Amino acid sequence: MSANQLFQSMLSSEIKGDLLVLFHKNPGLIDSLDGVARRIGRVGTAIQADVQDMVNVHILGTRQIGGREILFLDRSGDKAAQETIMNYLKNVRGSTE
Amino acid sequence: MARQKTGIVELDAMLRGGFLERDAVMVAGSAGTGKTTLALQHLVNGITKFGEPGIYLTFEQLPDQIYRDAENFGWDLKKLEEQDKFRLVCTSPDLLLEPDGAGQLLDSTIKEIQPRRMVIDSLNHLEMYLPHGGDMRKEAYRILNYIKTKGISPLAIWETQQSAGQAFSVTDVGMSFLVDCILLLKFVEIESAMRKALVIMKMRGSDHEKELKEYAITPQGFKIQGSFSEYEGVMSGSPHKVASERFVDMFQKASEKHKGGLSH
Repeated sequence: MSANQLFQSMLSSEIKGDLLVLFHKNPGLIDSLDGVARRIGRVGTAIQADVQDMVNVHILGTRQIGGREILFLDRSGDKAAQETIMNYLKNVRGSTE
Repeated sequence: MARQKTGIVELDAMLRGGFLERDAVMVAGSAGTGKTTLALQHLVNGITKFGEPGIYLTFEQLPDQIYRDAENFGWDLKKLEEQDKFRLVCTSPDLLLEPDGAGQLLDSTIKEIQPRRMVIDSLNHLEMYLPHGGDMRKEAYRILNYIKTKGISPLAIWETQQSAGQAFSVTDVGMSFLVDCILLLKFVEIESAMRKALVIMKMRGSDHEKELKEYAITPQGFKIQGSFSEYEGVMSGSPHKVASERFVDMFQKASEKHKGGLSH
């Protein structure tokens, strides 16, 4: 995924924004889809697609517990994504100045 | 016998040097008695004073609230996390109750920071999520033993109901026998003000202070202030002054009244 695509993807939904804020403020959060959804005032089915997008770009990681998928912040993936977006924004700013 | 200090000097003295290493400790008390503060301080002191990394496992409170509350006492938990000496893990109780839940949730964190202390906040949340027919004692026993076999000393928080005059019971599900040490925190009403009392209810394998002590939550954290030697019935929640102190009070009041009469 290109930097532009990553940037646009993260901006594409309010839910992704809520999830990013939740995991950045609470990096030790490890929870099921329903548990994560509850913490941002939603239900699991409503956030599933956005969660999958974030897993695909390695911002979130997954693991199995008791047949359920649990989510956690992939700290190295999240850091890499942040750097990619920061560099993209610097380039965009540079090219418009 | 190796001791694990809390770093709260007066409390360590009450414990005759600290908790016994690898003992399961329960801090029980009603809402607002300072259980979380005491537990956090035990972890922070473990890291900053004794070089023992720690994990705080929470179910209800989100980590960002705990970071904020800790900052009020001058404890920078995020900095300790950056130094790989502390982790604040937040999850749902039902995941921890899964057969391999503890391992899946905690093994990687334990490998990462090699903790010596862990706080579970709180066992009440586990009880809420027990499947129908589940046995809380069995599950709590399993989880506490998982932590101990990793070489970590667990400290579990248990919220009790506070009812004045009621017969004392640490837990509703009879879990006192599962833990090695129980600290009870309690509100007491003295002269129309709510004060706080701490008592060591149990400490397997060690002598400990038997007296109730008054404590307060100060800007620096949990602080033990003194005893309730002037009072009896403190455990009831509504103590009264002991006979000798009542006599002194009566004498002083009579004396002041007498002086007031003489001056007219």
